Amino acid sequence: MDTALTRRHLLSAGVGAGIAGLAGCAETSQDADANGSFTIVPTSDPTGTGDSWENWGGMTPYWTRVIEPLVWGTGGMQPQPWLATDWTATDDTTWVFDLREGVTFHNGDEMTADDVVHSFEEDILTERGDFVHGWLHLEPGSVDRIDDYTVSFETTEPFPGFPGTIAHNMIDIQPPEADRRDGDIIGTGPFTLAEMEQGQQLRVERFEDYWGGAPEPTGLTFRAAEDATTRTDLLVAGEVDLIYEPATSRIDGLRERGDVRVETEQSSGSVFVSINIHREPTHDADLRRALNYAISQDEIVTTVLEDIGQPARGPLSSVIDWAADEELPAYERDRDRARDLVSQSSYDGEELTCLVENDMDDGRTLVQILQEEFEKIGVTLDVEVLESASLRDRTDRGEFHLELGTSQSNSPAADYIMWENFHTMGISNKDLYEAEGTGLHNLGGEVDELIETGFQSHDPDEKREAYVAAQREIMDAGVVVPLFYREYVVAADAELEGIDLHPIDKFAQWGELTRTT
Amino acid sequence: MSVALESIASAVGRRYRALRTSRTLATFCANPLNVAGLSIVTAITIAAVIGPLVAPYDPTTQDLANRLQGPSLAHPFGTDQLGRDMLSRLLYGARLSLGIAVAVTGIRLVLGTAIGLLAGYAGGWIDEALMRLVDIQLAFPGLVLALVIAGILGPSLRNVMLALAVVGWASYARLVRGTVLATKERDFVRAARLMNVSRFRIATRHLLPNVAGPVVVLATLNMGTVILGTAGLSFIGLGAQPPTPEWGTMLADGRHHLRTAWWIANVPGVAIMCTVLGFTLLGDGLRDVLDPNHETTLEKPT
Repeated sequence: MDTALTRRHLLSAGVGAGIAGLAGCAETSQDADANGSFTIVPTSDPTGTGDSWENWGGMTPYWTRVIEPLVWGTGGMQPQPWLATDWTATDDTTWVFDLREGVTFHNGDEMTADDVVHSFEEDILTERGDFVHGWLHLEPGSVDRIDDYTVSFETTEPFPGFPGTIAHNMIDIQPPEADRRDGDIIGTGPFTLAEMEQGQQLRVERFEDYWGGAPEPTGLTFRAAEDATTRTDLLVAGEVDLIYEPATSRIDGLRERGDVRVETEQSSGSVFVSINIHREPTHDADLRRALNYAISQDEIVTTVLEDIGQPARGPLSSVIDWAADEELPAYERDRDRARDLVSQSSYDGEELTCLVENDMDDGRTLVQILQEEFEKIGVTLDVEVLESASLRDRTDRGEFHLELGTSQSNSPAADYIMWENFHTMGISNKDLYEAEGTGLHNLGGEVDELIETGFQSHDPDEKREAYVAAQREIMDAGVVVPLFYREYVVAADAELEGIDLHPIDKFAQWGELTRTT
Repeated sequence: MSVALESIASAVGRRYRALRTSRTLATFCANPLNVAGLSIVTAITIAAVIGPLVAPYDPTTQDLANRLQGPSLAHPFGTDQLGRDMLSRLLYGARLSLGIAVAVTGIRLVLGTAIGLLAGYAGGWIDEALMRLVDIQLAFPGLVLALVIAGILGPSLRNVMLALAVVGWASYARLVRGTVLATKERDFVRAARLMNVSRFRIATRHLLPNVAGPVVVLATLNMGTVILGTAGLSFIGLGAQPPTPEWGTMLADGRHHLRTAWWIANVPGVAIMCTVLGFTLLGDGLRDVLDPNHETTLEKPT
């Protein structure tokens, strides 16, 4: 028998070994799925990049459902009892929260008021610093234990939006024993943190003693893939079970596949062009209105966005209960009118600067549409695509005319979007107002008063009336060019059931996730 | 008038005959890869020069109703995500990419040659100081340093040009210095020195012509890397700003449409690949004939 090793033998052996290796990998993955474990790919790295999630040892507080806040949010963007069962404003600045009894931490201890006081005082108000004080309207020393299951909060000023504001994944409750910065996370959520590979993935496991009942999945793996095309490829290759935001151009293709299901949900986010109203020539309301008349939101949604999104009339997503839409002036595209307004304005042909962040989804495409449409009414746009720190530096100094940006609320109370963007003392405007008496997007006067009324009103009708009036003033003056209300897309293995989407994508629940076969 | 024309014609004729019988040209053409490189570079140069004149559409005009159209008679290379004609953008992009490559290589060449010439001819502490500067520059990874510089200066093609020019001159300086050190000890340079010819004249008339060959080879090979560097920096957003039809930016625009509109990324991708390949082959060919240390041969490669 001839036993010489030929090239054919070698090749056959190589191919055989390759196939065996692949089969081995495939079997491993299937075994994990059969046990009720799922792999999910969110839009951002779940293990954090750099110091993103240093307060949680690198684990993202979003999506993973390891930690929980006192308050959650309903699908209608209203505060929903969670670790707290009820809350009452006992005076203008005092809130009393009743805690849920029988909530167990992952270490087996029961959650009490001491844990809530510790979490707020030490982890949230002291460690995270000034921005949290402004956001929550709380100062250190303002959270007190009343009894084992009751806690009081003293806000720095009347703040009716407080329960909705703390309904945020980052306002979580952990016991003092948790060494959170070292990755020792002791939450109350339906999953416990099992393993984390920085920049790669993190794995969570079912918590059997969860106060809401043990979840269906035995475990979840959150994988890092920040590029939309990579996420889509991972799903199509069957390497993951569910992805957020597949590549827009491939959504139609995914819909046609029998093995993939695609779901969309209008989010609390919107995309708009904010205009610097204190810089020439965009200080001229006629020019700003002209820019509004130049754009067709419908065309943008049906073409570039491939119908993923809703044409916008205002700067805030219409899922927010007090956001105005139909009540706002409609700037249908009318180039003749826009040209007339341009000629009436003080615009004399100079280039307007438009800033856009380099990693904004569809940012480059959208800004080029704006450039083309504005050119048609005689306005020249100079686009600058910048990374986030450079962009923030430019906007802080007010050295721009337009900025393509987004607003997004990760808690049911979206009041801060109005305050921070459009109130004179909001974060966008305050520094320039105090230094030069200007700002960026603040009309001041009556709009400031309306925002203050909306911000401080306990009456939902009064709040809505004030905010709608403020948004009408903002749109009348053309402070923004609204583009679209965002919808987010989730694509998953068709056999997955129990996907529970929420207007705040980071509020997704995985407790009912199952596989049909 | 006719006498003048006749003399011009005869001069051109003489040149042509000289070229046809040139051993150098024969050596160059003996290798088909050299000819391929020259052909590619010539074609791209012609496209860059006359492309904008023959481009069927404005490269920035959008047509959203016809976005993502595949190759057709109306749009031979298809349309992009904003309905712009890819062929027109490619032709305009050729002028931009080639222009940047020439400018950056020119800056590197002039700067590097001047420093190398000065270091090699002057010697002593000047040579020492300049060569340490070269060592420092070469110690940094070129593209990473360019990325940092472009990041600090802000995104624009001008800044990308500056960044790439700043990081690439050292190899010219080192090459020129080496050649000058060898040449300045040769008899004709010594003779010039004995005849009291000025240092400047010796450097420019006797030394510089002798470094021209290797420098031209290096510059040609460098053109490809500069095109790659520019495209790379534009791809990550540090170079050309929208709607400039730069190849790297076009590639970035197309990457999310690879499965549904392959032409958006592949057209500029193939253009970049062909251009770099063309300059590399041409550079290799020029080295065959211009590098004095390289054995020339008329034999075809086996």
